[in-house]
Amino acid sequence: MRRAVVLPFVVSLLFASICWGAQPESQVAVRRVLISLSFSGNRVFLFGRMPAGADDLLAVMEGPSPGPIRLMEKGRVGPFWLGVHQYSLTRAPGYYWVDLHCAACNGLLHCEHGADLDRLNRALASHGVAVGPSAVRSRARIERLSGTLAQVEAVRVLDGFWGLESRRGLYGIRENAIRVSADRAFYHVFVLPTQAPEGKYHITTYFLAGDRLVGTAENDLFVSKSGLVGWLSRLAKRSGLTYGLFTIAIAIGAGWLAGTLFRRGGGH
Amino acid sequence: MTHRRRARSGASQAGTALVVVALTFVAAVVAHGSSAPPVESPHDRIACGECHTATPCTAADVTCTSGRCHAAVALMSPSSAHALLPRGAGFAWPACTACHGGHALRRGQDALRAACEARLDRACLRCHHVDSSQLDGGALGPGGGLAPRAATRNDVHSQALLTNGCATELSCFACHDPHGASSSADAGAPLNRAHVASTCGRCHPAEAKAYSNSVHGIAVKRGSTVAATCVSCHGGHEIRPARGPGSPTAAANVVYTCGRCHDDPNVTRQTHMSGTAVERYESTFHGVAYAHGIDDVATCVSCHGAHAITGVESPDSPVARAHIGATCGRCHARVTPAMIATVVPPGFIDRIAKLVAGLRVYFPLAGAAVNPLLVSGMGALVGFLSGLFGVGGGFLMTPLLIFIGIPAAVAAATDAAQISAGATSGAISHSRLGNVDFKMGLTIVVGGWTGGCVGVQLVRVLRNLGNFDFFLKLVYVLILGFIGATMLVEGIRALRGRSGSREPRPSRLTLFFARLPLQAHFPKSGLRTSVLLPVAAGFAVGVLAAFLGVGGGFIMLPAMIYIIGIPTRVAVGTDLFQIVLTSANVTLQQAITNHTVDLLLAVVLFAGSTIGAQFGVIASRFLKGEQIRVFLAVIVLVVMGLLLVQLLGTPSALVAFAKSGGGH
Repeated sequence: MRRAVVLPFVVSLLFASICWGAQPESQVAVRRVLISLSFSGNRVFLFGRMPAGADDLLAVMEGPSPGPIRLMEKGRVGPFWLGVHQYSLTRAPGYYWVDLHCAACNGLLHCEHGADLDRLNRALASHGVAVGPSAVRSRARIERLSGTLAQVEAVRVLDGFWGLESRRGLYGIRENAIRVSADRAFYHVFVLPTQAPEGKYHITTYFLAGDRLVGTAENDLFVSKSGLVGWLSRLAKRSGLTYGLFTIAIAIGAGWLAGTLFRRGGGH
Repeated sequence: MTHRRRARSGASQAGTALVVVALTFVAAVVAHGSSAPPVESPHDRIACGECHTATPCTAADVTCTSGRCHAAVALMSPSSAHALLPRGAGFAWPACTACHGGHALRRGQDALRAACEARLDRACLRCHHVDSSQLDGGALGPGGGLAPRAATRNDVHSQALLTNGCATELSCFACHDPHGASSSADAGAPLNRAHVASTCGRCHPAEAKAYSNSVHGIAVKRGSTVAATCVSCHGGHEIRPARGPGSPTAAANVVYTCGRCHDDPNVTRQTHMSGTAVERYESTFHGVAYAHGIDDVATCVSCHGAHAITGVESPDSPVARAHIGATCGRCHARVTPAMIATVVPPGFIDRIAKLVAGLRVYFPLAGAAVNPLLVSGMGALVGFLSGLFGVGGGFLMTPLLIFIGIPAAVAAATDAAQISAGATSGAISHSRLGNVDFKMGLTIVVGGWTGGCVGVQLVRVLRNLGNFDFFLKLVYVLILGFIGATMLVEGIRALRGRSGSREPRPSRLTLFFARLPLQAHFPKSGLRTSVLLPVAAGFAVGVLAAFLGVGGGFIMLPAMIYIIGIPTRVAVGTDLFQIVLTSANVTLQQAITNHTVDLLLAVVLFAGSTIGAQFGVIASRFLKGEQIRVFLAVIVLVVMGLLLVQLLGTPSALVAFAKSGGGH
């Protein structure tokens, strides 16, 4: 309850300070997201002011890369669908969302326009920046477990991987996410799903004037498990044997307890 | 010349006088004729003196009900406003002749029609168009029940009367009784609040019927002095078309028309209403738009209805929870529960249901927030099957966990832990029933653990060769199909009594092992065979279980029954016992190697599976061995069918996460 009251107040103050300030920058309302037992996802509020001359912007939020990911591509062999190839994927971000600004809709609920990511990518390309699936493709390292990997095949698998992560809410593009007010202040929200990995998240906001990049703003966010959730996660990873024995003891104890209770209850 | 002029002037004067005299005569005749009773008058055969009792005669002197003619009829009620009006000089209007006419007297309906045809205001409005203060120095009192002429000009009935011709049902008499009680305060008056609906209903029967069953109509019947009647919303003499401009029931005015009562403290205090209806409406999206002059948004009547309006607590109300979706759906294409919740506060049951449905617990290793009650329920279901059939239930639980969003690796590993709990619970109960052969179970476990370890390493090697998962799945389908079909056929035969025995006959393999060394006696199973048999069976099932990534209980149980030859009931209990040990081993391996056992998720699963297993054991007491085998066969065949669909069906995505490492 207290958080519900304090958070909007703090956000309002921060937002007001940005609006009054002269320097273009962006800020996140919360710099640390704690994952506890009641965690069911989070919303990361990002806001700031566009620099002079900028008429468009986009923001990218990337999460920490997990370990190697094993992928397979299915193909039809006879009447059966089976995994025909397996791949190992590394350096792919654990979270990757792109928020764009649509000048026509400016955050309206129903937008039939949407920003043009390809145009933005062309504008950013001269600065060596790419966003969206192409950025993940260029960053990730993919290997085929058997045989050589063709470029077309790599793109196909990485696009499939983007689709897998999108369905989990970890990857995506929102074409009408950023709102810009009349006084050039902007704000939008990144959604962290429950599957969001722990670690440091990096948010980059790109400001453009036509096809020219006129500035960037950087923000960091930390996601970590806390309390019982954090303790169990650490115990599972650092002391597997203790954790396993503890689990077995609880499992057998619970089973024994249920069997005993039913006997006393006259179940048999 | 002068004489001639004079003579001409005299003749002219004489002619003028003659004309004047003639005109005067004609005028006198005409005047006499107009005041005389016409031929068609009901009084045409009554002598003048019958009515004109005084000389000179005034209208006030004409008394039709003096007892001589109309006394017995007693047309005028004593409580009639007309009868109550003060009598005296200058008061022509209360007399009968004011409405019925004098010499050109007409009978009741005809009198009105004639007046109407002449002009409406010659009937009632001849008197009822002026302010009461003009009448006898205000003797009628403020208002005096008089309708300003201006009001009736806009009245829908007056307009219809003038447009469509003179019909009594559109006239003042449609609502007012000129001879009877006129004041709405009079219990017998047509416009008394108890009778307004029936009075209006003479011409508007459908609306009156709807109103009589409405919350307003019922309240009026019960004697409410504040509940709305027809005139409360539509007005009296200035009734405009319901949706027309200026009407109190038009979209632009209806909210404030309703608010006249629903925001009136005198009304709301008596009826225990909140008294903030308009205020609350104005705070909604509809209200904000309405306040800005947009009158095609929903108003009070859009949702609550008009004539047939019911209380919001009534199940028949359009705003009751059961109907609110359809009510909103009349304007909104997509009505979501969230939208409904903004206008209809959830009831107690709904609040509880919402609370339960919204319950989420974050499971740390799974990295997912899932409803713990759902997880427990799944545990109870699988635990029941475990207690009933003596299987671990991993083949069912793992897909269920994946379905609700648990990552596959965590689902498989955590399932092993929950199988330990459910199997322990079931094994303890079966042990109490004497269904567990501990010696046999431990012997099988030795083979099972060895086979499991070998199988895990084999899988690790083979999986890197590619396509191994497909091969495994295919083998899995074949094994399941074979086991399921065999058990089903055998079980049905046993049920029909064709096999001659309720337990399957010893197989050749059983007879072969019975001749091998290391013979041991298993009294609980009633077997004397080589220990190599249970060890070999355990090993084979362990390898298969590792290959297939499941606990193997549903493979072990048929193996115990058909290969080793253990009676079904004892096989169920013994299988549960060995599953406890096998799954505990798998749990430990997964925790050490892959760190994918979610203890919190496992505990929530225990809560359901341990209880469910007890009920499964209870249910097993009511089933015969062959029935258990048939049921298990059906489950095995269903699982096989699902796997086959996976293999043959077009996948939703061609790229998928692949398993790594070995099976458990």
